[in-house]
Amino acid sequence: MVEIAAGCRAFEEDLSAWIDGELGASRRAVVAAHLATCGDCAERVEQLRAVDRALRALPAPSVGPELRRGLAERLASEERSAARPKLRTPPRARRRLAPLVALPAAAAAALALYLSLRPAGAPVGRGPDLPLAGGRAAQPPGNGPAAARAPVAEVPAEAAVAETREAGPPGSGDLEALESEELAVVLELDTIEDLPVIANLEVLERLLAAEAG
Amino acid sequence: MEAVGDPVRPGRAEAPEETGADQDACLMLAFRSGDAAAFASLFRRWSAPLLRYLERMVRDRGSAEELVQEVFLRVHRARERYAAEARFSTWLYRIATNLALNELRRPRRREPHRSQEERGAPVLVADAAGPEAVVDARRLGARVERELARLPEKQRAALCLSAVEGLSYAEVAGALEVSEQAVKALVHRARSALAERLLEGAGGAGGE
Repeated sequence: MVEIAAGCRAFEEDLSAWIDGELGASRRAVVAAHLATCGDCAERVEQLRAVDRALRALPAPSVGPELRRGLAERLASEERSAARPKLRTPPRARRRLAPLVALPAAAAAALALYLSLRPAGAPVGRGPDLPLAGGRAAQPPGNGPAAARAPVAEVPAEAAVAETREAGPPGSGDLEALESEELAVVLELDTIEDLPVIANLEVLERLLAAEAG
Repeated sequence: MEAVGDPVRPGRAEAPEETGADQDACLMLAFRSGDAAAFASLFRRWSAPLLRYLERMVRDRGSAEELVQEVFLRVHRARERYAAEARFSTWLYRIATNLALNELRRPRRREPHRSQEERGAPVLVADAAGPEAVVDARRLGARVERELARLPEKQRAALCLSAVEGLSYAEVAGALEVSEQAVKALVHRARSALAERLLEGAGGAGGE
C-alpha cells in the first residue's frame, strides 16, 4: 500500500473525482491549489491517469454478424410468442379474421416497413413472385412515427390476392383493409402466426445488415 | 512544480455523438411508435460499447455477446413502457450491469486464470520527473485486463463506466443504482488498486 502523507489524506479520495471533472468548483480550486504544491499528489494523479489511458488502450471487441443474426432470431421468437395468443386460428381457415391492426404495434409496423422495402417482383417465402411494394424506397426515420404507422398504400386487396406479375397501383387500399388471412396468402405463409415472425425477422436482418455497411 | 492541468473527460469521446436532446431517447420513442429502423439505429450506436463493457465485466467473449443480445431483447420488450425519464444510455447500462452481475453470480462460473510469471511484472511506469506517465501498451494489455478482472465487480463496473464508457458519476450512479458518493468511492478504489498493482517498483504490490 502506497504511503500517503497525513496532509494529503484529505485529498486522496478527491483525486479520482478531480481527474473525472466531478468536483464542485470550490473543491476543485482547493484540490488544484494542493496539487500545485504537492509533488506526491501530483505524481499520484499521473499514475491514476495512466490507468485510464491503459484501460482505453485495451483492444475493443467488434460486433460480428452472428451477434446481429442471433438477436434477430431471438426477436422473431419473441414476436411469435407474443402473437400466438391473439391470432390463434386453424391454418388455412376461410373465415374472416381480425384485421392486421390487431397485431402488436411493432409487428404491424415492422410488416409495413418490410413490404415497403421489398422491390417489385422480389420473391417472398417459397412461392412465385408477387407484386408488392413496387420498389418504393423505405421511408426515412425522419418522417416520424406517424409515417411508420401509416398504411403502406401499395397493395390493394384485389391485386394482392390475384397471382399476377404486374406491379399493383400505389395509393389505393391499405394494409389495415387486408384481412390477416389474405395477407398470409399474399406472403405464402403456412399460418397467420408467421406474419409478425417473417416481417420482424426479415426487416431487422436487412436493417441491421444495412446499418453495418 | 508543473501544473497537472485541468481535469478532462476524454472518455466522453467514446460515447456516440450526441446532438442536444437525447438522440437515443428520440430513437426509442420512435421505435415505440413502430419505427423498426429506429431500433436498428440504436443497435448500431450501442452494440459495440455494450460488448466492450460486458466483456470487461463478465470476462468472457461468448457470454458477453449473449448478454448484448439480451440487453437489446429487453429494450425491445420494454418499448411500450419506455418513458424517457432517465437518459437512455443510463437505462441501457443499468440493464447491462444487472445482467452482468447476475451472470457473475452464477455458481458454475470459474475465476480467470492467473499465470504465475505475470504477477509482479512491472508494466506501468510513472516518471516522476515528467508530467505524464509512460505506458508500454504492448506489455500492458493482457496484464491490465487481468488486473481489471480481479477487481470487485462493482468497482470494475464503476471504473469501466466512468473511465472507458465516459459516463458521468451521476449516470454511473443511475446505472449501478447507488449514490454518487458511492460511485466516487468505487471509482477511486478501483483506479488506486489498478495503479498499485501495475506500478513499477510498488513495494509489496505483487502480493495479495
